[in-house]
Amino acid sequence: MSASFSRIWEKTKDRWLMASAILFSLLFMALDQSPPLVMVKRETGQVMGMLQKGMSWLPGLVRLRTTHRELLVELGRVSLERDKYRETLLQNERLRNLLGFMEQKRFDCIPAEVIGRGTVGIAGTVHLNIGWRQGCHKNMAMVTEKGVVGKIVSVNAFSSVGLLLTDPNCRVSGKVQRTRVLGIVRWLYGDVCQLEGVPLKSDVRIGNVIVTSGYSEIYPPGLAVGRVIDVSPDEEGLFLKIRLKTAVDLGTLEEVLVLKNDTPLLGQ
Amino acid sequence: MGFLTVAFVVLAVLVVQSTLVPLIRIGGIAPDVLMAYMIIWCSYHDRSQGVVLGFCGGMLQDLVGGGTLGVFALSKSLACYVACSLPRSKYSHDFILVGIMLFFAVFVHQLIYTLFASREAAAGFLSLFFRNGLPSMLYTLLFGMSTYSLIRVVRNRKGAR
Repeated sequence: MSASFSRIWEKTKDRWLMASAILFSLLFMALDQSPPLVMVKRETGQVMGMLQKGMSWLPGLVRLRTTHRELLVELGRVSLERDKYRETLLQNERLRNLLGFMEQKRFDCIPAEVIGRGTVGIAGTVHLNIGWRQGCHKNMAMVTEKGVVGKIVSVNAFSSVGLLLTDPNCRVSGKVQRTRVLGIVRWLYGDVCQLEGVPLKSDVRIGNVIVTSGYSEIYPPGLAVGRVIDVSPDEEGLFLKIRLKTAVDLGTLEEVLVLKNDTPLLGQ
Repeated sequence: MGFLTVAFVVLAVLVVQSTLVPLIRIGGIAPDVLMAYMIIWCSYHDRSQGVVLGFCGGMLQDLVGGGTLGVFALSKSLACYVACSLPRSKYSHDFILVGIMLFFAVFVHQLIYTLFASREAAAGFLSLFFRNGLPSMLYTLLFGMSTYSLIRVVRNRKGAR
C-alpha cells in the first residue's frame, strides 16, 4: 500500500505541487488584507529595506557619476544662459545710457552697432552696421554717452567704417573745459592722446576735461574727448605737452551714436 | 545546490532587482531578473523543484513588492512549471529550446501578472499587456538568454578542465 502510494506520489508529485501552489496563491490573494499577512508583509519589507540600504551605495555610485555628468552639462548650459543674460543686462544699460544721452543733448543721431574692427596695422577703425540707406554719411561724428569716439570715413549701403580717436590720422579740435584753452587732439599711444598747440603759459591741470571746441563741421561743441593725465612743457619750450586719456574706452566699444550733420550746435 | 543556497541567491537577486536593475531600465521597462534566474535554474532541475522555487520566489517578491500577495507566486510557479516541462537531457543543452521555453515561461508569467494587475489599473488588460507586459517580457527574454549564454560558456570551460 505504502509502496504503491509512494510510486503514485513520485509520478504525480509535480502536478500536486502545482495544484497546491495555485491553491495557496489564490488563498493568499483572498487573504491579502488580513492582519497577520499585512504584518508579515511589513516585517519582510523592513528586512528587505535593510538589505537594500546595504546595497544602495552601488547604484548611488552609478547615479553619482550620471548625475555628475548631467550636472556638468547643466552647469555649462546655465553658465551660457547666465552669460547671455548678463550680456543683455549690460547691453540694456548701455542702450539706456545712450538713449538718455540722446534725450539730454537733443541730438539727431543714428544708433549703430560695432560689427567689426580694423585688423590691419594699428586697429583704429571700427565697422558699423549702418550705411547710407540708414542715413549715415561720411564725416559724421561717432559718439557715446561718455564722449567722442571718432568719425565716419567710409560709407556703403548697409555698413560704414569709422575712424577712432586712437587712429594716427584722426584729429579733433578740442579745448580745456575749465579754461577754454584751444588745441588739437591727436592720438599718441594706446588710449592716450595729446592736446597740441596749447601755449606754455596756459592754465591746464591734471584732471581737466577736454571737450570738442565746436570749430569743426564734424563734432558739436562740448562733447567730452578725454581727461588730462599729464602736463609738461615740450622740448622747444613754446607749448605745453598735454596728455589725455580718452573719455570713451575705445577698446571695448560695442554701440555708438552717429550724429547727423544737421545736428544743432550746443546752445543754439 | 542546497535549499539555503537557493534561498540566499533568490534573496540576493531580489535585492539586485530592486537596487541595480532600475539602472538598466529602458523607457521605464526593466527586466525581471528573478524570473530569468528561475527559468535558467529550472533548465537544470525537475518540475517539482521548479514549482517550489517559483512559488517561494514569487511569494517573496510579493511580500517585498507590496502588491497583492500571491500574484507573483502564482505566475512564477506556473512559469517555472512550463519551463520545466521539457526533458532535462535535451533541455539543458539546446540553446534555442531554452530560448523558446524562456519565452513561453515569461509569457505565461506576464499574462497572469497583467491579468491580476489590470484589475486595479485604470488601463485595460490588453493595453497594459502591450504597453508594459510585452516590452518587459522581451527585455527579460533578452536578459535571460544573455545570462544563459554566459552560464553555458562558464560550464563548458569547467567541463573542459
